[in-house]
Amino acid sequence: MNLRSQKPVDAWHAWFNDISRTFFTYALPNEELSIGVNGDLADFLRWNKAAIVQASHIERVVGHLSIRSRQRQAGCSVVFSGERDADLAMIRRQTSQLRSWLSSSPKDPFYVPNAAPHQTEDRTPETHFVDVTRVVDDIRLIASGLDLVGLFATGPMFSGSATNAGHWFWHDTHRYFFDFSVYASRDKAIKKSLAGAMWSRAEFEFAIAKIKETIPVLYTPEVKLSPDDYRVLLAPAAVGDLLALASWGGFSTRAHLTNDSPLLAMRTEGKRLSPLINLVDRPQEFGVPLLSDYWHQSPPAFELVRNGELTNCFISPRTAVEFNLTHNCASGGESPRGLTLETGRLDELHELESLNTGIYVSDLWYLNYSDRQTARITGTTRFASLWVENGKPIAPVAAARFDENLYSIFGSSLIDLGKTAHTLEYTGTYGSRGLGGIQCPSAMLSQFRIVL
Amino acid sequence: MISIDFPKLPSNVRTMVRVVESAHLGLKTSKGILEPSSLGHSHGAMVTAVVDQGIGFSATADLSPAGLQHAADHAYLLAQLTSRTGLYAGMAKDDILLKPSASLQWRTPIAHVSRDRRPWMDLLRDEANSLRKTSGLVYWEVGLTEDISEHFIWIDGELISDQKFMYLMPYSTATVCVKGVTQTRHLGGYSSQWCQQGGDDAFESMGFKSSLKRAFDDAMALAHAPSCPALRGELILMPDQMLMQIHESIGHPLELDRILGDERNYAGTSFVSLDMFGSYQYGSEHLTVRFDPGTNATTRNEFASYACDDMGSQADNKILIDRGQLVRPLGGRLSAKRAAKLGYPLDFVANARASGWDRPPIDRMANINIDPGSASFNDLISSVDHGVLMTTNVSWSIDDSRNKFQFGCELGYEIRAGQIVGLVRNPGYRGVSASFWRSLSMVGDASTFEVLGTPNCGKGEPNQGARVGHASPACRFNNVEIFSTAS
Repeated sequence: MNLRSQKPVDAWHAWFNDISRTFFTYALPNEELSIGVNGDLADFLRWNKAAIVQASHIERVVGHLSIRSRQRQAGCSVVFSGERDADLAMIRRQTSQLRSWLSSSPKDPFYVPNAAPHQTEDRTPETHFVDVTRVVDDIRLIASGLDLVGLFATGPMFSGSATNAGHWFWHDTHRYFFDFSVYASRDKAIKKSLAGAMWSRAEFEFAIAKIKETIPVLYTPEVKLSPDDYRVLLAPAAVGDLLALASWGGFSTRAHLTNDSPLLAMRTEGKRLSPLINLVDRPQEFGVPLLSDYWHQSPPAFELVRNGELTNCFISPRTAVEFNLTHNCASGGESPRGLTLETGRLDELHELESLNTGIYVSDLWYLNYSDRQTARITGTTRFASLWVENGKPIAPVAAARFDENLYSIFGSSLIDLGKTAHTLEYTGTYGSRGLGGIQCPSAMLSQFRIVL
Repeated sequence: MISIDFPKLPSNVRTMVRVVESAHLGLKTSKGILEPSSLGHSHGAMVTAVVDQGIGFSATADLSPAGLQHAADHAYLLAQLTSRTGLYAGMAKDDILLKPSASLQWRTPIAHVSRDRRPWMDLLRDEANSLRKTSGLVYWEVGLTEDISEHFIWIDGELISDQKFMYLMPYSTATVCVKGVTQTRHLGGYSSQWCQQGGDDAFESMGFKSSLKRAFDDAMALAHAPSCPALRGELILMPDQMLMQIHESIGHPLELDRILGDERNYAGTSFVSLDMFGSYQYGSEHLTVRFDPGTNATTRNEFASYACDDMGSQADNKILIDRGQLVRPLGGRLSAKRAAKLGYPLDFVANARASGWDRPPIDRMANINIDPGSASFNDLISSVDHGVLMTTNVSWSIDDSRNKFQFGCELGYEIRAGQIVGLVRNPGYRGVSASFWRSLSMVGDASTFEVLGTPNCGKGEPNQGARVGHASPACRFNNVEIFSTAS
């Protein structure tokens, strides 16, 4: 069964070269034109009860056009079809509209010039093709009889940017992920995510075998936790969710300077996390290109927290102009794209023994700030979270709501971190798939407040 | 009006083409400075192929005859794949997709819309500059978003729906810091759930003029107010918090795809099961909830009002919860067929919706509203012994079965012995859906009723963000755990 995209990545690469050069011929004197694309040519297979519930193929190439002139700028997001004539007609219409807005716009006081022109290409051979029908057969065979639910996604992704000043960037890659859960009962399941360049039947088979080994405890009646403080072991997925929440404005200079950062007290009051906390952003570990806004190259490793102390925050060039600072090549979002938490000393094989009696939290869910100003957070346990006694898993816990604080979780309550780092690749698909993720170990906490 | 060359598939295949074209405009001022405008344009088609026991989807932005034909061929391959590996065994193609008997049309009711949007920049700047830099003011933002989208659906070559939507949402936000206490107040826009369909009339109906000053005054008052007291007592929720309460603990749990298990790996499951419909007491006798896709003058401009869903089902007003009793789920026609196959013949609503041309439809909320009761606002307040009134959601979280929730609001007012005694900051409350709605003890009348919405309802794999509307009166609940969210 041929499930290939209408236009392969090579053809999109050639199309972008052609379209961008033609677009630049539309430039008026003193106009700086730029064009960018993000392409996601994906097959998505939704699973429920180890059968396909929805199968879709989505070719989505979103672009961005911008015109900058005399310290004014206007930008427009568009969707490209890959058809030269149709795309150029659309570009001409949007260019005219952008000029109309530009003529009415005042000078931008925080205007940022682009860095010097440079050219980068990072191509992946098209041999990385996942045969979807073979994957379907593998999953159905290996997960037969299991209540498996989740999303398999595969296909090429690419991004490109260019300006009429001579900047050029292209990056393409072929990725798959299979983010799935195997259910034991109503809300009790073991969740797993596989990702990479090539589908591996053996890797999936191994993952299912491990799930079959560990799932029996989820069939025992759940334990309802009373509101109290509990000793907990947070699995890497739970730690990753907490780090993602902390990254929501935690390391953004703009958020700090507008009193909108949950970690504001680390900057203004010298508040510290545990000395065990060392955080570095390493986008390349997740295949994320280092190209940043205004054609800067962000560093391959950017330290955020050392021994519990906030050492750096992201400063985008625009924030730097607005607040009279020196930028550090951060993109406009000023958030990590490949956050890594340094490991500790907990041996993963003996973690439950170290926990002794308490809650093993496999996954967290619906995290949010109750009070962003003080990093007070809430959320619930999910999936295979267990009550553990004397180092032995006893039963799953009923979903429990916690009322906590990032300064306690990664500070006063933190006993130790696991000595194995786990890679949690980004599996979000709002708009399109993306690159990035978090690498982190498990975490043992002396107390964790359950309130409901 | 868009015309297409309808793709050709074998005669045993039912083919649907859904084309969506949309335009976006975002304007904002930060601290009085107009930021570069943000424009957007998107168009594309989702081609759906249906065979007996199978359905496949393929999306493309290439609307040429060759582009649509390639997408149709791809959708057909996926339909064949699901017919042998999917969940649709025993279903004929009419069960999966039915062509409606008449063509359906929707136009957002609009009193006035500007031809030239550029003067809006002056409107925003004037509002932003109406506030003088004052001690304690940290950040302020005034902006708007405008979205226009047109949706067309053809089934087997025949145009069966043509819908045009317009959304304009102005907003103002002010953040202040007084003696280390930071407070932010949002008025208008999605942060305060002021989301409706409409044109320029939105400026007036939202109360845009002087909104920044009002936001600043509220934030300053909050910064000087005491923290919300901790108590177990009566809770009055205004419509802009009822929105979140309805959304998370009625809307999501009633989604039929969630009950059928499709969402368990991502957005979660539900404490509601198929056997509860028709018998389960979801709330008190004061609670009547309906799916209302804009069928009356009050809800016509609600955020998710429309004529038909993205599978071509005609949208009608239907009751979900009738005087507390659970009546029907939020499931589209296909989900209802799946439930029937499991032995639960349930009525459907037209809520199979996609976030755009590039996503297949799934069960969504659309407009989920609570019927007004008979209590005036004064009746609600005077009935409270000790409690808190809360307004404008700022923090939200609920477990994956949509049961244990916690919400925080921007403003609270402590009430004692039937009187509002003062403003309190950082109010929050917790509860459990399954029991919370049974503690609904009084429902406000039409004078307390507001039509609101949000553009950010997230679910689905691949992920989809959808616009949903929630209209509600102010409501009173008994015996609720209330606390301050500040540390």
